[in-house]
Amino acid sequence: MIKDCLATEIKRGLLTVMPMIIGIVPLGLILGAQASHQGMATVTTVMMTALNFAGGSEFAVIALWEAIPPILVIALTTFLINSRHIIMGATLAPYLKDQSPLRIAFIYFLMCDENWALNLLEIQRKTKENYSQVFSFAFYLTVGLSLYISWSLSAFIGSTLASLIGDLKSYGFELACPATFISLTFGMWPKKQGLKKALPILGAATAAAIVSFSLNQAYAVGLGALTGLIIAFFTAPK
Amino acid sequence: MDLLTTLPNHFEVLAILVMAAVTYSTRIIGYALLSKVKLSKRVRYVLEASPCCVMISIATPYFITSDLKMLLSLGFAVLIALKFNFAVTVIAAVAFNGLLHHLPFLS
Repeated sequence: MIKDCLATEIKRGLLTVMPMIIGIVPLGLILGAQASHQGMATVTTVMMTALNFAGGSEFAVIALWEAIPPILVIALTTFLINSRHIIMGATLAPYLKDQSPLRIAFIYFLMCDENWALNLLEIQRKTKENYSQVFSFAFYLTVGLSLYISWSLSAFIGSTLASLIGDLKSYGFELACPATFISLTFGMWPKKQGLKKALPILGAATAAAIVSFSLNQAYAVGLGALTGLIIAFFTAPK
Repeated sequence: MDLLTTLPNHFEVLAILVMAAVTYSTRIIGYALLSKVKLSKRVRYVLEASPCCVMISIATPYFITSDLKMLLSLGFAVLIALKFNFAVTVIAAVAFNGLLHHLPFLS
């Protein structure tokens, strides 16, 4: 049975998270700049990234942002985008049995795609190598806080720089948001799994297009996604 | 309006607090559920399908536009996204759109 000391866990956490930071900083800068472009104040942007800490939903909410934000649409969009956390959280749960309730509450606050993925890889490795403790709070915290700080800080810098640069449209920044979601769509697309798995997604796109053409963009996200979920519900394998 | 010194209004603060609460609930629901009931296969299937449905529902409305530069850039972004990763796609699409804005024959 192996158990690593605290310093080793922290050091390994930092080394593991480094490549992710390189990816997350430009994204945070784009988010901050995009937020400013949409008229969101710097304080508001930092508050959002620090309290919410879920990039996908933040990009979506920025696109919906107004002086009086549509709170219901924001809540629905946030829930739908982040609903993947439910499955992720459930996967992580069996490894947290020895943690205190306060720690568990904080662990889930810091759970994002990257942190979750890196920690499950670490858990798998430690299980294989016969560690006595496969989940390390120190490792989790190191990875999670590094991502958390990089995210909020880069969003802050992006927002500040954007306010100095002024209108980002002529620099092509209006493409940052749609390109983000086009890329994420392809990344999550169920490849080589048949038409049945793609049906909900195609249904969502069709509904979103129709709604944004005839109503407006704010409703397109919620109604599009809802259409997809309904199709998924009825096409789910028995 | 100076975005650096502006403070959020009550509605904005409320929107962010609601957003944060909803996000946190998605994070903790999985843990809370697992200790009580097991998610049915059908519910898991729907949950697994949901992120991509949401992503494409956000992307699609951008295509409903008569702005030629936007449409060309979106088409370009789709082509790049088919082959390259996230960072490359975003940077290439932004650069392409920025270029279109500075081409004399398009403006």
